[in-house]
Amino acid sequence: MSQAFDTSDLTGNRLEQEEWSPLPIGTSIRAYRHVFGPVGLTALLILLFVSSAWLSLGSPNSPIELNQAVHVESADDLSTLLDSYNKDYKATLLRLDNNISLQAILIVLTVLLIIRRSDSLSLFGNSIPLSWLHFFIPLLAIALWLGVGFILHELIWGRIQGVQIIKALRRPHVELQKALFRDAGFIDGWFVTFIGADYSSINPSFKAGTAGVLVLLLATLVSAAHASLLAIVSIGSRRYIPGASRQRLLWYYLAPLLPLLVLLLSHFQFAYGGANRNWLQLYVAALTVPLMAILLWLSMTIDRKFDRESLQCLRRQRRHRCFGPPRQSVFDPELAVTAEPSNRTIALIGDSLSTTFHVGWPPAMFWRLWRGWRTNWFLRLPSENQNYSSILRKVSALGTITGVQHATVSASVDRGGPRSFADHLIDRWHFSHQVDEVLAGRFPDLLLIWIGHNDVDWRKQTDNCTAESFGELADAFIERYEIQLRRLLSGALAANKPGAIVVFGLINFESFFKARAEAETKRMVNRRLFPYLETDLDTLSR
Amino acid sequence: MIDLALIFNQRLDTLCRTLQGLLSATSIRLVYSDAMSVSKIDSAEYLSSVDAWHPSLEGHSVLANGAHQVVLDQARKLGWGEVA
Repeated sequence: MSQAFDTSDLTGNRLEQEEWSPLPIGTSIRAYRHVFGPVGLTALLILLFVSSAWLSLGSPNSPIELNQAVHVESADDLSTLLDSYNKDYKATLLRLDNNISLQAILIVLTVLLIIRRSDSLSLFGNSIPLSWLHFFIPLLAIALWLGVGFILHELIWGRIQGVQIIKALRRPHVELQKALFRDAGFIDGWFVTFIGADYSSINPSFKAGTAGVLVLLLATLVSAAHASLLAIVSIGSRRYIPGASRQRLLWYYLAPLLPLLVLLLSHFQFAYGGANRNWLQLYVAALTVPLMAILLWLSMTIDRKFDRESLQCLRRQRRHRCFGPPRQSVFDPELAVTAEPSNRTIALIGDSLSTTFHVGWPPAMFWRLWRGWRTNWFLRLPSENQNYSSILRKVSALGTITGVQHATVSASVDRGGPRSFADHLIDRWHFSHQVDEVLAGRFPDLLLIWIGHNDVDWRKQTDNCTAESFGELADAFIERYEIQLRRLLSGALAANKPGAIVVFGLINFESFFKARAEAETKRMVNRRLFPYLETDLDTLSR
Repeated sequence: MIDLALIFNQRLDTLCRTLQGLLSATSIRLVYSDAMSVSKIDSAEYLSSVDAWHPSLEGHSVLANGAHQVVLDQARKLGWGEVA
């Protein structure tokens, strides 16, 4: 991260160094702004689904509140039936154990997939592409999960019916007979916690402890299985779906939605359709979200080292491609040498002067904070022609080129550090954050830097308008600037390819204020002109 | 602000020259350009018709024309030839 950068060599004689010494470039995960996007979307959909079900249907019924449980009146031939119920119950318990074990294996497999070092798995001499597993494992996980729902429902109702039969038989030692249905495990805990001690033959005083174990073990495992299922499809989409970054990003968000829908409907069916009132499912829903976030974070951490290209779609997708002259020139052997590779990039680090932001009506201003990056001198201008065109359009005369816009409104030359809540709210990325973004991806062939206009308002930084205080401000500014510039240069060198960085000096404020004075004069004549001219710039983003 | 911006620009120029000197043996070029500093944003038409602080589309066009040459020079030095 930028704040971890060692600044000890940047004070004093920093400009007298004779050799270039590579410095840690320190990228931050904050450059991958979409990494937790699917988690947020999942959490939102779960919340909407659960609250909608709760508000429209209320709390689910409990099986013993309904008259659906068997009420046996006659004891004829019940002994045989009880034996049959008990055998079925034990067999189903075994199925539950097997299912849970398989789910645990799938969770482990998911983690192994996330931390994979290659794209294939060699098994008995055969190479299995891991990309398939990213989508096969979720299918298996869904099948297993649906199985759990049916098995659990069968066990609950089978046990209730079995106990009803035992009661109908009116034999002595009823409590001992109820123990026939005990499993010393999850189902016992379920009955104690959600149905009642009458069906469990367990001391109710153990209820709190039983519930705790129940939640920690099984519900956590189910949550982990859900999180694995949802995370791995997102990760698989990011890693393997072909196409441009935008398409990958779209699938990164959309891919978990179908399995999420299946999970939500199955939970709904279990709780409401099966009349199984419990709070365990809410716990599962709540825990699935952070576990999914952890898995996505883990995959990003691994891929930053081994598959950085797959993370590119997680950055801000503020790019525009300008196609160059007709491609036929590529086939000319003489021109083929200079024909462009299609992945040339030019990027811009900057502030609001590189966007179409302007102060105005607050909602519209908020919109422009987020969307004003599209039109500007660098990326594109409306109705472009030879004399009226953006840098990207002009440079595309040399061949197809992709422009990446990092500039944001209100950005300044900062000291580094995490983005604040306000930064997130207004989509502000200061110099160090924009540098993080640049370093997180393939280093651009040509990088333009035009930032610092928000640092020249000396009134915010000092009370003295003297040459000495200005010198101090300039020292501090250049020190901050140099730290980020050195990070960029280290990144450019690490990219091991030719590149250029152009640092633009700040705008000519003298002529700028001349233009502004003209605007003020015009406004004095016609108050409809420049309606937000007097708006206090200190309180608004520039 | 005018004076401070001038000082900033002088320091940026010095910084870039110094760092470029250290990079001479590499394939990375660091260039300071005063193209934006000399761009003539000196008329109200180049400012936003709403706040008169940020550039209008005409202002952006002036900035693009100002930065064009230095960007083109660096692109050519990277071997991006004129295909058209």
